[in-house]
Amino acid sequence: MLLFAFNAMAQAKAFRAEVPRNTIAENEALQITFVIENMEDRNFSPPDFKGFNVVSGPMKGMSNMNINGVRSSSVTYVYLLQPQASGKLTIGAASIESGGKTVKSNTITITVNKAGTKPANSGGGGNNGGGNKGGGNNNGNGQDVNDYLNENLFIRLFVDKKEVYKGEQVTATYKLYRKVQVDQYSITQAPSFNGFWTVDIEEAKTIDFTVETFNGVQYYVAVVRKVALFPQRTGELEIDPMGLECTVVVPTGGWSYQRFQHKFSSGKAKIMVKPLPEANKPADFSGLVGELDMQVTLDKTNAKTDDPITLSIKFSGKGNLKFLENPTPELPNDFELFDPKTTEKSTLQGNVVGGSRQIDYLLIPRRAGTYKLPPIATSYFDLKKGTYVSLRSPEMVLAVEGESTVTQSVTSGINKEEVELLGQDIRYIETDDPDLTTQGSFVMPLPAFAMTFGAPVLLFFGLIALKRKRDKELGNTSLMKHRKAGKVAAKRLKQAEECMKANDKRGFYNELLKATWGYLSDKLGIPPSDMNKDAAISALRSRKVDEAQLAVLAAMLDTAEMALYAPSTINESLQQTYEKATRIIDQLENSLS
Amino acid sequence: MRKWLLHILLMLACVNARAEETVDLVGIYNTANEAFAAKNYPAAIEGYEQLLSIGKISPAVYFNLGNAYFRAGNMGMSILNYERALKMDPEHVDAAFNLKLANLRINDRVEPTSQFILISWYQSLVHGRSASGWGIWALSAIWLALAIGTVYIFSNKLVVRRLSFTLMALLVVSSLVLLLFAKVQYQYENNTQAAIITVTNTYVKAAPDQTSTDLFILREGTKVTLLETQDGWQKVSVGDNEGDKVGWVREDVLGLI
Repeated sequence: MLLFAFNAMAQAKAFRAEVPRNTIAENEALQITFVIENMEDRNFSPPDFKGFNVVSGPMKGMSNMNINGVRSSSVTYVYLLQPQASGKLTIGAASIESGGKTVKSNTITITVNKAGTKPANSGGGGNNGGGNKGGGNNNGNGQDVNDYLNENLFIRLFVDKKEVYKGEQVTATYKLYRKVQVDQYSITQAPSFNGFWTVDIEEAKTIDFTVETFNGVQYYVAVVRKVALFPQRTGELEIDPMGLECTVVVPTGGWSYQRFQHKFSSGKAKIMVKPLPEANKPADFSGLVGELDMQVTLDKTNAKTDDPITLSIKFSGKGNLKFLENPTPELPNDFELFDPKTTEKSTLQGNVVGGSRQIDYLLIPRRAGTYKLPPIATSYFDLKKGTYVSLRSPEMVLAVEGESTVTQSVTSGINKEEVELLGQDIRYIETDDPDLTTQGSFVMPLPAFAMTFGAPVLLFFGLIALKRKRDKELGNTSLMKHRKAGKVAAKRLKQAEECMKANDKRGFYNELLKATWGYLSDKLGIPPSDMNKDAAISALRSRKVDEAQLAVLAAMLDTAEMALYAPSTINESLQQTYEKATRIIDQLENSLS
Repeated sequence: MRKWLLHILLMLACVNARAEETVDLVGIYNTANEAFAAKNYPAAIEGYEQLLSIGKISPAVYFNLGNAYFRAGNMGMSILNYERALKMDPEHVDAAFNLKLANLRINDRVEPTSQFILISWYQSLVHGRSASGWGIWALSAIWLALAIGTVYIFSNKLVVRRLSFTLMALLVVSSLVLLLFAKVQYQYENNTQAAIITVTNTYVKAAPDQTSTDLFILREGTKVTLLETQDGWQKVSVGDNEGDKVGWVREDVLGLI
């Protein structure tokens, strides 16, 4: 199919300005075409279009023709204008240099009506269709339409980084490039960005073109969509392409132009997502990659019980703050902590997504005391440094005064006796003599106490010594003998017992008599030389010893003496005599001491 | 013998001198009691504290001061003074009762240590009398033993000698036991093993250092056992399971019992 049909006035030189009509509505665009026919085209300079905005243009079109042997050529410059206000407007003359002279075009007066007075009519003039159909041999510059459109209208996807950390921002920009006139855009394929968390930086509602050079060629360029992407997965991720469908308006010279539907796509991009380093990864890593600042404030540091206090944690920084988890302050259980109120704000610094988040916790102290609010800590991955950075708020001290209001619930381990006690009042003070003493006082100073305690022990031994001394001074040796008589007798009787066991009768009676006489002599204080049975009996009698005992003693002594000198006359056994002797000495020992 | 008499006379003189000094002190005490009766508790506290600052103590002063603090709403100091009164006079029933009430008013209650019955019986026996009391008993026993010993030495009668010897031996043994009690009680009275937290709350640290970790919070009125001291810090334990809750606090948050 051929495009550039034209209506030419053969061979006639002309330079004119054309408009499809001279009356338009205020909101309508006006297409003005400068046509140069059969003339040299140099230094085309458009008029200043006072009162209009140039929506697009100039678009240059050229055609050469040979009709019935007559060659003709035509050059067109097309502008699309938008009136700035209603009223009568004059478009000034354009000029070219041709054959060394400056040639000017005609001027055109346009009547601009108030908006809505006349429906917009983007259709061309009556000769539009004819131009199309009649152009069988109008072989413009020989370009295929699609190639032409692809070259002059396309969309490109740009990403600012090819390799990022998980969670790091990648900016994807879809840019539309055109050299042709387009009057309708529709997005046929919107990218879904799987694997990314997205923040739109720019999503054009109206497409504003600027002139930009791309591959050495000037284009009208508009950003269709700019989006910040935060990869959520590691590995190779694809950024989806964006598809567009446009209606392209191609002027066909004169008053006519033609419309084409053109579909095209930006193509996709691939980026490599690296995992964050595991080394030195803090336990409290918040998930934020970028930059972060934290400020923790208390609205007051002195409060009364039940008085609400606000603890604000404010994060600000670059990166995806949505990833941040709200830190929970660790408070003593004397505080009631309410769910936080979170306020978020997103900001853009250039193309970098950032923002702030403020988390306000409401605390209500229930008990008086001085409390420390433990530091709030979080950490993030700093892209500039390439390391994890930990943030830690300083410890804050909060003084709470007033009556505690949770006493009852705390003393839950209360028993029945204590419940009864709770209702009672304390017992009244003592008012009688306070009996004041000094701290740590003892009944007396410690050395004095030790002496007072030790004295009786010493005194006791002193008294014993005293008694012995007195006994000695009195020369009372008989007393000593008296005291020891029992023991000596016991010893002799032991020897007698041994003789008895050896059946030595003589020895036995001998020892028995020695024991008895010795005992009596010591006990009664009679010297052995003066000792005989009568003296002993009378001395014992004077000491009030029982007569029966005396008789037993006398009988025992007789038996023993008889046995010593006339052993055959004795009927008593040694055993009987021995028992008699020990018994009598025992009895005497008791009654004499 | 004469020396001992002299000693005893000197001691009696000392007691008399003390009695003369107390006249003014009793005046302070009575004024404080009057302030208490007039519900002027700060004045009462001031009066009792003045007595204590002079170095004059008694269970009654501690008890009354505990009451004044109780009325003034200072439970920590109230508990501290009841505890002090009970330490001096373990049989002070009113102090024990008021201490129970004060302990009900505080927030953190530590269950008292439950001990083996024989140990608690022994402790209540020894702490049931002051060191002076035990000392006087010990002295009485040993002097009585001497008196009976004299009988033993100078008597010639066997029955008397045997009886007196047995009695003397018993008295000597019991005087030694009483002396031991006096010693234990003396150490208890003159050493501080426990304290009360007197500030509204305090953080217990893991080490005697302001920057060390906070372990837990102790509140006003809590009784702690003292373990060791270091540079103005005191290692304390709370509750019955030893080693369960142990940490360091600044000495100035404690009132020593």
